[in-house]
Amino acid sequence: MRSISVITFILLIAVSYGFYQLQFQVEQRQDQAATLEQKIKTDKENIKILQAEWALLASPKRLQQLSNRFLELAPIDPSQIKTLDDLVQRNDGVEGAAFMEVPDAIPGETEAAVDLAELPQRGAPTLPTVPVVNRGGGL
Amino acid sequence: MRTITNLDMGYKQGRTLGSVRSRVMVTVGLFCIAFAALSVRVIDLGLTAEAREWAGYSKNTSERSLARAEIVDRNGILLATNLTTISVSANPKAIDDPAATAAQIATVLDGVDVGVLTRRLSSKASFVWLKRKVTPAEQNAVNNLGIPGVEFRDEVQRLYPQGNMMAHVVGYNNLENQGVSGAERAFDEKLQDLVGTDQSLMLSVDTRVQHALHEEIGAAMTQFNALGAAGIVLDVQTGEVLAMASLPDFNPNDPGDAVTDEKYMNRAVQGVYEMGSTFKTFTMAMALEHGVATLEDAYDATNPIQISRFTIRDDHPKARWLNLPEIYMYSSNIGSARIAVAAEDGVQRDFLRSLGLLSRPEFELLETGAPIVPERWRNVQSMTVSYGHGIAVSGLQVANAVAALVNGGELHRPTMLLISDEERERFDPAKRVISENTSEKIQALMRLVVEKGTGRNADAPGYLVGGKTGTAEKSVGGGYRKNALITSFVAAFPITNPRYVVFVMLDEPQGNEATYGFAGAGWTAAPIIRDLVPRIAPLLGVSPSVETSHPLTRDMIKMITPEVRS
Repeated sequence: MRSISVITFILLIAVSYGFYQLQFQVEQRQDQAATLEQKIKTDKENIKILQAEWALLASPKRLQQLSNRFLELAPIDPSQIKTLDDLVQRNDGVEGAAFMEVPDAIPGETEAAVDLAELPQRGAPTLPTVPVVNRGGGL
Repeated sequence: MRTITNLDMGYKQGRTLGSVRSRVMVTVGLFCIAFAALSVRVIDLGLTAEAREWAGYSKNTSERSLARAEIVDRNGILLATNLTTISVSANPKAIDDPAATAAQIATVLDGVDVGVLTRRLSSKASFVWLKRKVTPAEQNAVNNLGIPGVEFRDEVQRLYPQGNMMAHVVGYNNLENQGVSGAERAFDEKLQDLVGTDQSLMLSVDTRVQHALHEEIGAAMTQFNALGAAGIVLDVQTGEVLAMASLPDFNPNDPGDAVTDEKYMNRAVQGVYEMGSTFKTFTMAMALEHGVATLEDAYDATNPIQISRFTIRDDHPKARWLNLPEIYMYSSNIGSARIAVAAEDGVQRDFLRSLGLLSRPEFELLETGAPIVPERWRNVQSMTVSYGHGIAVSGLQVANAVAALVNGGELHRPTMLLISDEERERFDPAKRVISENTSEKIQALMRLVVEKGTGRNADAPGYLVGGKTGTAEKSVGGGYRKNALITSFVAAFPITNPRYVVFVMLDEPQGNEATYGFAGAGWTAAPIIRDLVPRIAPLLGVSPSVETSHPLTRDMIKMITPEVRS
């Protein structure tokens, strides 16, 4: 009988300690969760501020002022917009500078057998000088 | 017998002992269950209840700090958002010396008056505002004063990053965060319902197009010294408003109190005006659709028409018979009037009604204006209405009706919300108002005006603009003021397969040297279209065309009697 009481008493102390530990941990986690939630809230608030700032900085009015001041760009003229059909085939003997020629695959071998290092090297195609268009208002 | 008694005794004794034991065990069992239940509850409270309480708390605060959802444009660009700001308040009951405290606070807060502060701090209330929306620096300074009874409160401030440009689209809120005008007012409930859903209210406007429109009408307003200007860009297939501007405007971030000031009036949607000759587009459509006339039919525009107290004249009199394309391109009032009276009774009125020109448009903005229509509809009203006088409508109505005339003949419900394809059918049951055939003729007529008629200044090469000028004298007290004009231009592009309608309007423009003193729509409103369309077309994905005319327009040009130049 006495041994049962002793065992029960020891168990009681063990369970109480265990439970206290558990509760302590839970409280810690709750604090962490609260801190995190607060941080999420602050972060969301900050994201909002940044988004608002971005909207202010990227507003068309401001971009236009900056463009007029720093860029040599003019509004697009309709004549500058072309479709693929508008491109005429070059027939002046000049090979397309923008396209590298790929040698035909050797018969019997796979296409991947072409060693890229052996391809003729070309310098970067030189771009024609683009005439500077007069600045104007407008995006 | 003894044995039996003994046995009986033993049985009896055993029974008594057994029943006592079982009663004790039942009691013990009950206590165990009760304590077990208590333990479970204690553990439950210890571990989870606090978390539940926290969860509720944080939800409440986030709801309070976000009283309204954000508003974005069709591409997700912010039009209205919330920022948390700090306001300084005080509890006067906790302030001992109001005057000294007021003087102290006034040294660190900008724009506050010591007298006002003293009065507030002396009040009997337990809460007064000292200054709303202070900067972090000001907050810090007030905090450093360390006055008991002075407090800080978080407040939600609405921020409109696009400023004036979107003033009449998004509108603004009062200090209590209630919508006063624009989308803020129209979608007041919806903006509150969206709180906590992480969704924003998406409008159909395009910030880039809005900027271009706002700037171009602003430039014209300055150039012609006008009192005001307005413009709308409308998608003809969906009725979506891509841009809507009205000048003069205001900064929604700092709207001020004078709501009665005319800068708060939306001239594009709220204001109704006698639009003048843009109405001839409706007269032409009515005549062609209802068999009143064919393109080849001609009407006598030799002399002005006298009817009751009116004399109907032409601005550019040709003094001869004119066929329909000529009436339209020369903007002949006499010709239009003759067409109107040639129609049977009620046809003109029913036609205008079917285009939504005689009733308040079904549009989200609560400030949307209702047209002023003639009370009686006799010959004289028919005649004046045919060229846009004696009837006052809003720019939105003109734009939407013209959209229906050029898009193949279907009237859409105008909207400033981005409507999904699934919702569209329910939201906008498109209504056929004219046949495709008539629609094509209207396109060609509008192109004719830009190629050969009064709208030549609106031509934007490559984008095939078609349109119609409208110059109306302002009516003042029953008469008309000769020099006070409302000039407008309604355009569609590309006219062979229109995708957008643009309506622009100037209030009392003055002619200048560049226009040889003319202030008519062809000189003041049409150039806005010429400058605006090339800016917005690339943004809207309209590619330039190699075409230079509408196929039907070429046929119409052959019908025109060549001008005899003197």
